[in-house]
Amino acid sequence: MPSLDAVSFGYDGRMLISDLHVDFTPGNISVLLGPSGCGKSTLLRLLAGLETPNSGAVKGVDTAPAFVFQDAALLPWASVEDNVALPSRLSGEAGALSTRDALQAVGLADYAKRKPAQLSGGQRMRVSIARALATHTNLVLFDEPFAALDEILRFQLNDLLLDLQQHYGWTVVFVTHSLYEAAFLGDRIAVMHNGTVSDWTEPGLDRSLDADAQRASAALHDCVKTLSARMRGRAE
Amino acid sequence: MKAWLPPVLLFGCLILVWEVSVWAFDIPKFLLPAPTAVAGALWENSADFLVAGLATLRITLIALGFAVLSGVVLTLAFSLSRFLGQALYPIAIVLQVTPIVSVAPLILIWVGIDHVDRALVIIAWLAAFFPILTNLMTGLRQVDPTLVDLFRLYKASRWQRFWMLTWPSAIPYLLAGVKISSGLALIGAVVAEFVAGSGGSTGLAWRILEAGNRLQVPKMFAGLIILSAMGVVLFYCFSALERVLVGRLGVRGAVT
Repeated sequence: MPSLDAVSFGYDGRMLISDLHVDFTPGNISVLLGPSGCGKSTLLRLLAGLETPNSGAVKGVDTAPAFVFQDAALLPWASVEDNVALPSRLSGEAGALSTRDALQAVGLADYAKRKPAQLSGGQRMRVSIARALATHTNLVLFDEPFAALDEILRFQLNDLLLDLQQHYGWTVVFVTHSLYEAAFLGDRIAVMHNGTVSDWTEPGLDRSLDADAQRASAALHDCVKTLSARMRGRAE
Repeated sequence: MKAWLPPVLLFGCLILVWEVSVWAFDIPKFLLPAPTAVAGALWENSADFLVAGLATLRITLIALGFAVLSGVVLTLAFSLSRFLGQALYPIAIVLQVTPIVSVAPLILIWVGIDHVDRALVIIAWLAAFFPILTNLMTGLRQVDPTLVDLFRLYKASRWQRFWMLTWPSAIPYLLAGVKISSGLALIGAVVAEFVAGSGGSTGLAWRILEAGNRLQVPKMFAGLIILSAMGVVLFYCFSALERVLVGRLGVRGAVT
C-alpha cells in the first residue's frame, strides 16, 4: 500500500509538511482536496520521489508512478505517439499497454502522428493520460490535471478517468481544489490544510448516473456540502 | 492596408524630396548626389559590385558558419563543465566588448599578411559569435520545469535529458541568435575589409573606400545601398529559416 510514514518536508527553514501519516488504498481513487498552497502538490511529489523527505519514509512505491501534471507536459517537438512512448523509452521498460492501445483507450487512435500544438487542451490531457497508461505502474498521480479546462470537458475527462481506473484497477491519488470533482471521483476524500491531512471520507456515491441520475446527483450534492463544511472547519 | 505599404510610401517620398532638393538647391555631386545619379552609378558599376558583393557575402557566410559551430561547441562545453564555463565566459565577454575595429589591425598583422581572407573571416567571426553563444546558453536554461520532472520521474540519464529535452528546447534560441549574428557577421566583414584597405581586399567595403578616395560619391552611395540590401536580405532569409524550423519543431520561437 502506498503510504507516507511520519514524513516531514520543507526547505529554507520552512516546513511544508510535518510528521505526516497517510496511506492510499490500492485500487481506489483517493482524492486530496484543499486550497492552493496547502501542500497537496508537495505530497504528490514526495510520493513520486521527485522530492526526498527530510525525515520519515515513503513506502509501497516500488516503481516510478505515472504522473499527470497540471499542464499536459508533452514534448512540443515530438509526435503524440512519441510522447506516449516516452516513459518506456527513458526507462527502457515496456509499458503495460502499447502506444497504440493506450491512444485507443483515450480515444485518440487517429491522432498518433500529430504534434501537441495541433491538439486542443482536452486532447493534450488525454495524451498525458495515455502516457500514464503506457507505463507499467499501477499507481497514477494526478496533480489538478483538469483545472484549466472548461466544465464540460472536465466532466468528460473525469468520466474517462473513472472508466480507466476501474478497467485497469489503478491506485489513483488525485489532487484538486474542486469540491465537485472530489465528490465525483473520490472513493475516499481527505481535506488537506497547512500540510496536514484530515481523516478520509467515503462518499459511497452511486456513479451509475444513467440508472438513477437524481439519487446520484443528490448524493453528490450532499457530499459537496459535507466537504465544504469540513474545509471551512479546517480553514478556521 | 498591407504591412509593407507604409514603409514603401515613406521611402518613396523621401527619395523624391531628396531628388528635388538636390536639383533645387544645386547641391554639388561630391557632397550629396541625387538618387538618379546614385542609380546611374549602380548601373554602371553593376558587374564590379556583383563580384565585390559576392566576395563580402562569402566572408560573411563563412564567418557565420564558424560562429554557429564555435557557439554550439563552446556552449556544450560550458554546460558539460562548470569549470570550463567559469574559465571561458569572461574571455568571451572581453572579446565581445572590445570594439572590433580596434582588434582588426592586430589580427591582420598576425594572420592577414599571408592570408587576408583568413583574417577577414576571423574578424567577422569575432563580431558574430557572441549572440549565438549567449542565446544558446539562455536557451539551455529555458527548459520547462514540468518536463524536467517528467524526465526525473522516469530516471532519464544525463544524456537522455540533454538530447531529448534540453537541446531541442534550446533550438529556437539558437535560431534567434543566428538571425542576429547574420547582420553582425556582415558588419564584421565590412569592418575587416575597411581595416585591410587595399591589402588584397576584393569586397564591397573596399569598393566604397576606393570610390571615397576618388571622390566618386555616387558610387559610394551605390555601394552602401548594396551593403544595406545584403544585410536586409540576410536578416529576412534567416528569419524565414527560423520560422520554418520553429514551426516544424512545433515549439514557440524564442523571444529575444
